[in-house]
Amino acid sequence: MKKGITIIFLMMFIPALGLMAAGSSEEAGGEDVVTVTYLTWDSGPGVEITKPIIAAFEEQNPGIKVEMQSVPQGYDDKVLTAHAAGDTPDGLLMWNTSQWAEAGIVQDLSPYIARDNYDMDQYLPVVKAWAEYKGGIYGLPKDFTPRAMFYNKNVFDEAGVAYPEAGWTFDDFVSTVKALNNNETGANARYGYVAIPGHTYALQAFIWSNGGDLCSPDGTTASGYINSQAVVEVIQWYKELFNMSISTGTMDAYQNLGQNEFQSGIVGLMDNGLWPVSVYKDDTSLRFGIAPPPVPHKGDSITPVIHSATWSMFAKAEHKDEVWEFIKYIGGPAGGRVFAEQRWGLPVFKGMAEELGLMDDEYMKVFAEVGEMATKAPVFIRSPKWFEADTEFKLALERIFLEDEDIQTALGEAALRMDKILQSQ
Amino acid sequence: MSRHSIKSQERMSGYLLILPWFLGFLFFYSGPMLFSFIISFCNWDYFKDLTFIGLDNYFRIFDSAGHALPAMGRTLKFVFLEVPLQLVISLAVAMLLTRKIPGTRISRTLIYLPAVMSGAVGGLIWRYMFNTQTGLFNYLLSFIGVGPIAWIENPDIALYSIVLTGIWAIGQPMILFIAAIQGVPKTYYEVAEVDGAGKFSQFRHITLPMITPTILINTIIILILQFQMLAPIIVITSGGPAKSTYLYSYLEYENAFKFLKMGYASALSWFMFVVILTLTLIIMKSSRKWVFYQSEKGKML
Repeated sequence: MKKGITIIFLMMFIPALGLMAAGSSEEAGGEDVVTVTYLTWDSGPGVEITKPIIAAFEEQNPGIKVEMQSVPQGYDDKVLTAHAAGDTPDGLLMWNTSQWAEAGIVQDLSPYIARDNYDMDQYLPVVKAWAEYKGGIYGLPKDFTPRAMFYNKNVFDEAGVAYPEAGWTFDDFVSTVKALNNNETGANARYGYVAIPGHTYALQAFIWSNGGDLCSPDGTTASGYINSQAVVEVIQWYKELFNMSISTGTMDAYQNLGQNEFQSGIVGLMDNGLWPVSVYKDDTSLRFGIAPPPVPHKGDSITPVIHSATWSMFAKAEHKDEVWEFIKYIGGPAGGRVFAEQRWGLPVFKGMAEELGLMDDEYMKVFAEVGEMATKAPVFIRSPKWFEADTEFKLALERIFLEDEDIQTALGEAALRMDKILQSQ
Repeated sequence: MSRHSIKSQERMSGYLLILPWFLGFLFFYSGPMLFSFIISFCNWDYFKDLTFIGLDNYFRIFDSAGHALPAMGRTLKFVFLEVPLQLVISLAVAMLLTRKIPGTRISRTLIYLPAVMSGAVGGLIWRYMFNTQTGLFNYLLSFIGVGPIAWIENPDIALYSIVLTGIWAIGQPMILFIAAIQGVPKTYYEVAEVDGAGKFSQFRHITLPMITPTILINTIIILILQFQMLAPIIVITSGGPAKSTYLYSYLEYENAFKFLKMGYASALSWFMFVVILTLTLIIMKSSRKWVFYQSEKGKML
């Protein structure tokens, strides 16, 4: 019997030893070339587009090879587990600056920026702010998009409603949505708007425009902000919209933001970033336009919210100097231009939108103009605890919209819970 | 060979059979389990600030203003609905598919199919079927003039809709039931028939008692799996709307991977382990009263 166990042990370990041997011989075979590994959530065309950039970079830097590793599903979990295991790639695309900076997952690039005298002023202030946390700079901006209003011209024409224009107000928005709604049910139903009950991210833009905020500038207090009059007004307005909009409270909606409903003409208006534009342009039966988000009152200005990402470095990267060289290249004007030319996002460099002729494109023009008005990075950049605090805000909104809870009460309760989270150690 | 040595040989081959699992546990599970037990007493966000905080994480679970206890309550409700549902349906399907009727082979395969699909993919399909405007369920209901029902958008209904998705998980228990039903000696039924017992009576007095060991094992397996059910929740509702489907497993996931509170998430996991262990022990204890083992011949005769 003992013999049997020995055999089983051997059977288990011999292949493992073989694998280890194979691994080390491969490493020994490498020459002076350093391979930088870079984690991306993009796949397919999103990775394809980096190939010419990488080729150009490798030509300029013969000692460095770049290998993109695509993780389209479960990206954040992969980053966290790789970091916890201590075996990370060298670089990564990042969106949640405060959280990963605070957790020590990503490297503060300011020493490298200072060393090379790298010009951070070439970036638009809002995308620069996205990359900053507690005085550090945790990545170079990739691209960005503000949120704006898509309108389906077919739906508007059918209902005989005028297209929205810059400067339209919250009230105009409500009356537009009302006019588009044909009050039918089933397959014939047309709605003005896709309203998502807990979409705190989109709502922060309207709250900023109305002079409010979700928490204090230092990200430690929600009381007095989330339950302020400015926020209550916006939630009241949004509740009216919600009640006459198509109900989409599912994850489907959070992920697709009503893109399908908009494209198929079930709804007339959709709040979104510029991602669907390229798909919609290919749909010849769809006529659509983009309008800036509405302002609270006539004559007010908007403070839009943006989506962005940065080229960042793992704190546990093996080849820090080499990955910095690559980040500088792909996150610099040379790489940024290639991405901006694809028009999946707006360029993060001052003046590049004009330079690339985006202002001649009726869709990109509006996004670029709205983007220029963006001054604030989203709230989660202020505190790594925001993600947890935000779930309380979301819960309050869902109670208000779905369960008819009193706005003031729900937000007041949420504020206390959020304070506790934001101030926790 | 003496009776004793046969027994010890049997025992040895038993150990040998569980050896691969045991080694897997030793190498891949015991370390992480021990580690998670240690960090459940610590503040730990991914190697930064590892500090010992005693039982604070455990006290937090019982914070009356927190989300953990309501989530556990919701999970118990979910599990207590899900376990009988899966047991009854999988047994009923197994009974049908052990009959000599055409199409049983293909039906078995089809019913088992969702079991090999990842929870996330299955969840996606359910999400499309649940869609209020364009989903399959509301489309079918429209023919009889019912609906539309906000399956996963109404906080009062959403949890029951999630319970419903469990019928895709019956493949595994069904296979075990089929094996058990086929293992019942034919002679029992023949004797019963001679004695004039009807089909239901045969099921009630022969099949059911004979497969009680399988009912026990299925109950425990389903119970454990349903406590840990996560992927469909992430994909279908992410705990919403208004936290109506915010199950304990999702709370754990969110704390570990969204809020980076690994210490607290570990404490949550150990608390769930205790709850599952307790329920399993209760079921095991009760099984002496209702599970029939063939070796205990005296009982049957």
